[in-house]
Amino acid sequence: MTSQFSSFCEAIRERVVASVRAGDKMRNLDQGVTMETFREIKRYMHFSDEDVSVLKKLGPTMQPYLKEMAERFYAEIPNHPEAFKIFTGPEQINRLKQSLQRWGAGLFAGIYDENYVQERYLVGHTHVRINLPQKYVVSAMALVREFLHQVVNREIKDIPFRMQAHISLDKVLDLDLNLMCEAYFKSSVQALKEINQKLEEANRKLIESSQFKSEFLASTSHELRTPLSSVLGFIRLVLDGVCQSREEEMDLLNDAFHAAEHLLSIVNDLLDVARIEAGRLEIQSRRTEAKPILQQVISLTAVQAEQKSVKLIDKTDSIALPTVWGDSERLKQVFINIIGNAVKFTDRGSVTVNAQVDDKFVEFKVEDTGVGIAKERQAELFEKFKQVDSSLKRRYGGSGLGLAISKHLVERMGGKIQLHSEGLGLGTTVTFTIPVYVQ
Amino acid sequence: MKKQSILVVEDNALIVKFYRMALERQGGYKVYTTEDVDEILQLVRSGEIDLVILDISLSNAHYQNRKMDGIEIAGLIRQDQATARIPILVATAHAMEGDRAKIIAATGANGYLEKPIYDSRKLISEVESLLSTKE
Repeated sequence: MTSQFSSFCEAIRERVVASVRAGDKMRNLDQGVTMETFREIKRYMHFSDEDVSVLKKLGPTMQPYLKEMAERFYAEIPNHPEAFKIFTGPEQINRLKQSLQRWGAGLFAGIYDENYVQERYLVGHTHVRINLPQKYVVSAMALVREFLHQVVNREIKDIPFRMQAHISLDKVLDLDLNLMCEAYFKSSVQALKEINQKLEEANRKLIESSQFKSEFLASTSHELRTPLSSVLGFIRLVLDGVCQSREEEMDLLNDAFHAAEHLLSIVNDLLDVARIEAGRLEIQSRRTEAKPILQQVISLTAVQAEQKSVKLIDKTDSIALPTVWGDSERLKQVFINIIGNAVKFTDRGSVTVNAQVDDKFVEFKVEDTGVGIAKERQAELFEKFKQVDSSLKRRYGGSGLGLAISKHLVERMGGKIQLHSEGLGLGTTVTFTIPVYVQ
Repeated sequence: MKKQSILVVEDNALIVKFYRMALERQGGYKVYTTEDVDEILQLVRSGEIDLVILDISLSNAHYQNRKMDGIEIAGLIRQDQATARIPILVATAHAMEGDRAKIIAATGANGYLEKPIYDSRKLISEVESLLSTKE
């Protein structure tokens, strides 16, 4: 019996492993293995019609003992330190006892079909769920076997029938134990599989975030070194007396100054991102007038637009903007990022600022005729640290963080931001909303 | 003696301006600058160029309708027998661990400077030493 049992377990194990490898859904696996297993068990156990009739004959004799059998089975279990989990409610333990009694009744009626299998499975799974070790159930089953043998010995006087009863009973009890073990094995495999999936997922995320961080570090280092080169280089040249006139000196110092300003804006963006990442970026929303802020930003960026011969058109002049609910400094930062970007990425044509008002939101719209962006890459723009084409970054400068920061700021103030472009070279439109102040 | 010539391949206009001031005024070299790959190849093949200062990340370097970086440009210079021996000084802001070895291996560069490059005398002494070993 032992070698039969172990080879049976091995066969089951192989099938479960193969199914798991094949990526079967666990539910299908449950059913598939159950039915096939049952047929297999029948083959192993050589159930005969004689067995069935022996058990049936035993039925009336055993019936009064079934309750005691169930009591004994579960009496064994409380010795286990984890067993209190099974006694979370008297109902649960009663259900399990009743199920064991039903099983006994079915057994002595000669019924061990698919329903029987499902039932035993369920009990097995329950034991696994409450973390009861398999060996513990096996020893409780041994107790049941011992008990039933004793009853048979006591009640059945006919010695040959008693022997036959022992054999038939053992077959069913072994079957039962096999089913329990299989349930254990499958539950363990499933639990392992789930743990594995979680670990793999966590691992993937870790690798991704560490790659991301080192790429970001490399890119940041690169972005900081470039303007720093100009700041230090030009000052060095002036100090070395390379210049031939006062004007030339002023020119170099002016370049150094602008490079330093650029450096400062990158450092500020980086600090903002670090604060956002740490969840420590403070936003203090209060009643705010958006129009003066917008006009201030427009007059600031108009200088850059003029230098590039890009028309900066403000259509909000004629629109009465309601008081909004937001952080004025942060709102200004968003305007600077969005309008500044539009001017930066437009070499000819215009940048148009417009607004629309409904009773809940003011929607600002910044439309340019600039370099545009391919549709498939538009979503990336809001991801931190990604400027779509790193060569654009070099051509136009900037940390590549502006849109990601703006998205965060707008959302924190209760609005939404969107970007739309028909494609490369076809201009870009950014819209974002800020909630209207309601008393 | 004829002035020695240096070709600067760099996409940042301010950094180009720095190289020009430092190399022309302080070093006494003749400086060419371009990002156009055809122009680069034409210049190095003309025999006019004694040394190339090469940036790695370039925004406007195209060759046969394809974007190129400094590593690929170095490859083009190195694969042509006529230009293979021109010293290349890589000057890049890529400064993470391992970048240096990787870039030198990929470009076959003779020298390597990390940005920020602002000490013009150090730059010139590096250029001088590369030019002297060339002879």
